[in-house]
Amino acid sequence: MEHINLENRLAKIIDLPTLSVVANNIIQITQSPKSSALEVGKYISQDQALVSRILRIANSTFYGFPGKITTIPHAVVILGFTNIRNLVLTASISKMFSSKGGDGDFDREGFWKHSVACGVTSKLIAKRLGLKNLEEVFIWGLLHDIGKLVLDTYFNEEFTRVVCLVKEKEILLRDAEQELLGFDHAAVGANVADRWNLPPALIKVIRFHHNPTQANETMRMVAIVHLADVLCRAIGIGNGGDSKIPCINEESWKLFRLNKRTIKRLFSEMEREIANAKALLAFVK
Amino acid sequence: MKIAPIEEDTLFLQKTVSDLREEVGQLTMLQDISKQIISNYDFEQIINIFLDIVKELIGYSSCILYLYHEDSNSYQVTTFRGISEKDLRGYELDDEIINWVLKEGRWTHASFPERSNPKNDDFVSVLPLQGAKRNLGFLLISSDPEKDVFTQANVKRLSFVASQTGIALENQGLYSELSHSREYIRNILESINSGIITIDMADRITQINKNVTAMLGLPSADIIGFSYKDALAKDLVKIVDKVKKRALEDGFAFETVFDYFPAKDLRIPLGVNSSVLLDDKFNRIGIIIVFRNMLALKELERLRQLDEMKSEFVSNVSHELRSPLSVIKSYVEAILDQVDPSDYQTQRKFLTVVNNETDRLAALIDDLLDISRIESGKFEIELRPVTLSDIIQTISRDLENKSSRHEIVVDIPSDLPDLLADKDKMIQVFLNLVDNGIKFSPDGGKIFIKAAVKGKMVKCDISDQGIGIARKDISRIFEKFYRVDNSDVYEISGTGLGLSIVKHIIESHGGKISVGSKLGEGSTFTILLPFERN
Repeated sequence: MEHINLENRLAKIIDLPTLSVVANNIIQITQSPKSSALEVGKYISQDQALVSRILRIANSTFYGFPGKITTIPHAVVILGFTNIRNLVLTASISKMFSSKGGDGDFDREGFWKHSVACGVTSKLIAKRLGLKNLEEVFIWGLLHDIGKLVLDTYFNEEFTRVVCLVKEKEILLRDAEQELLGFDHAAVGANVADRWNLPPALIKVIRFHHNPTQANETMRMVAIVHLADVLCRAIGIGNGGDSKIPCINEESWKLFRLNKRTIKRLFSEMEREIANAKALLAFVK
Repeated sequence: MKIAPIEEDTLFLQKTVSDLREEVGQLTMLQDISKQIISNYDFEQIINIFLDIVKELIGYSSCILYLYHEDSNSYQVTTFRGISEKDLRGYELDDEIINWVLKEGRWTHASFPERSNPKNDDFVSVLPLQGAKRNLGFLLISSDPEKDVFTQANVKRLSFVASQTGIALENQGLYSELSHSREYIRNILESINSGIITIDMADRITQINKNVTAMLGLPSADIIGFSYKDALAKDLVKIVDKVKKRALEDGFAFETVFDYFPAKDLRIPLGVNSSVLLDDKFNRIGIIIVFRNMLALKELERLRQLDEMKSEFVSNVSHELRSPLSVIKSYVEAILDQVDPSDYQTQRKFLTVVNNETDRLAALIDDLLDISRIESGKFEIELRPVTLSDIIQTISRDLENKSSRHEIVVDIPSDLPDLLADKDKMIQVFLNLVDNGIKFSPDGGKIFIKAAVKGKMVKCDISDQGIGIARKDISRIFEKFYRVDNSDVYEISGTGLGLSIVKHIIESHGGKISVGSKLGEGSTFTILLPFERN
């Protein structure tokens, strides 16, 4: 009975979080092949606070550009469309959630640490696989757990109970969610991302990151984030709301042909890159 | 609650969809064009097609291609378009920027250090070129800022073309490396002093070198791909069959030697060996057969034997010189110290021994001088009419002194014409041959000397009833220094020079000498010499 009520509530509340106008525009125009750096710059310049935030991180060690980036169009031609879109989107989402909720036991800072680490790790795995558009993969990792923020903000009371249950029984967050709510943060996140018109691939990653096999033809993409998620938990970076390490999906493991040696190398790369990503953590907080 | 899309949104969506369609069409076309790049192994062509496509896509005003040079460990200008060489310096990027761009692997705006002065306000961008695992270089592209070339679509297209070009350049590098190493191996194969044939497991010839075609006298080098059973001569096929079987059984076959007749009257001793060819997974993929011309080896063997014979000769000669000297010394000492000065008879007996030994020494030294004259080409003969029976008489007298118990039986017709010869040399020849007969016959044996006219020559046989000569030695007894090894039968002194000198004397008279023999029954030396006719 309770479950049905919660689903109804979700449907109502989901209308509430909306992306900023700028983020909306940027997502829209970056989907059009003919949009140019100048156009993108024009839209971002409407929000001066966003401009300075973006310029600050563009000049940070996170991107490591050996020069000075002074304008948004300049940032676009240096960092590329995907990076800029990622920044606008992330800025909008982090702002949206920082103002509300988060009074419960859910560790917001740990959440973002884990998310940034996942983004970085996903990128490293994708690079190893020979993928070209690594920035796209980065946002998958960064936003894969966005559902948790939605739950913590709009279902704070229930989510606090979920977090308690996790601690009490030492189970996975998603199992506790299923037990208490009847759905998990993956479903919530995908629902919200769909409403925000985020790229279809990102929506799939959010929905299936616990179980890449269900993503069918997009399994490979989803599996990257799935693996990154587990690896980041394994080395204990950040906090996703639970401390249990889920198993790696067997098929994903096979897909990447990883072995002890490559995992070891991956871990040392992760350490270096996650340290470089401090600026991004400041950006989302 | 759903909000109906407003008109602007609909228009935007329609435009985006049509743009995306166009984009898909463009990318499909790009993919087709880039096949030209990928399937190319010519460096210049790859670069030219690449620059053409980039020009078509974003219409640059100039571009500069930098490629990595391993020798200098730096990126260097490989080619440029739409810019003069002296202006290149204005477009130099800092290493820091280059490394950043290559790490990011994206087409980005090029940020120049202050010392550079790119033309006007051109939009200069840098497109990295990367292979599967390494950075290959980058393309600096200068374009009109008004054109607003930095669009999402161009990012995608350029990155696609760049990645195809990267792969093509890498393939081209591998290809040329491969053809270099193939050429290198080919050169090794051709330079090897042996003939080489490789066959696969189905007996087809897969590789041959020039040496083998020369060595085996193959009619043509175009036998690759054919079964060796069809391509080679029958006797060769048999040999290859054998070494192939061996190689398949043991992994290799030791060298065996056979006589090969590439043409009539041409005999080449060839050595052949073989081993199994394995691939990197140790599967048998064929057999390598190596032929070696053994002529050189045989010559070497002959020289080695000659050398051995010379050393033996030195030791023989020393011995031969030493023993008469010792005899002379001890007899002279005896005469001086022990023999009663009035005992003339004993003194005479001893002095005769000394005399004989001195003769032996003199003969030996004569032999040595002769051989040295022969070797240096100073051996001369003086031809005069000589009566054979005179010579025989002379040597019989000489030999009587030697107190041997052999009987010399002479059978010379009285009407035998005079020989045209050098008398002293002829005496030397007969003395040598008869003395040999005596040396190699038991006491009481008979030596026969028989002469007759045969055609235009006088034929003379000197036979004994001695130990004879083994078959393997017969062809070699006239060789310098050669001594039949019969130490287990008889202890017979000699230098191994006599018969060699005899042969030389006979031949310098225009005659011939041959020998027939049966072990244990005796030998017959037959001499043919020209005679005086008038």
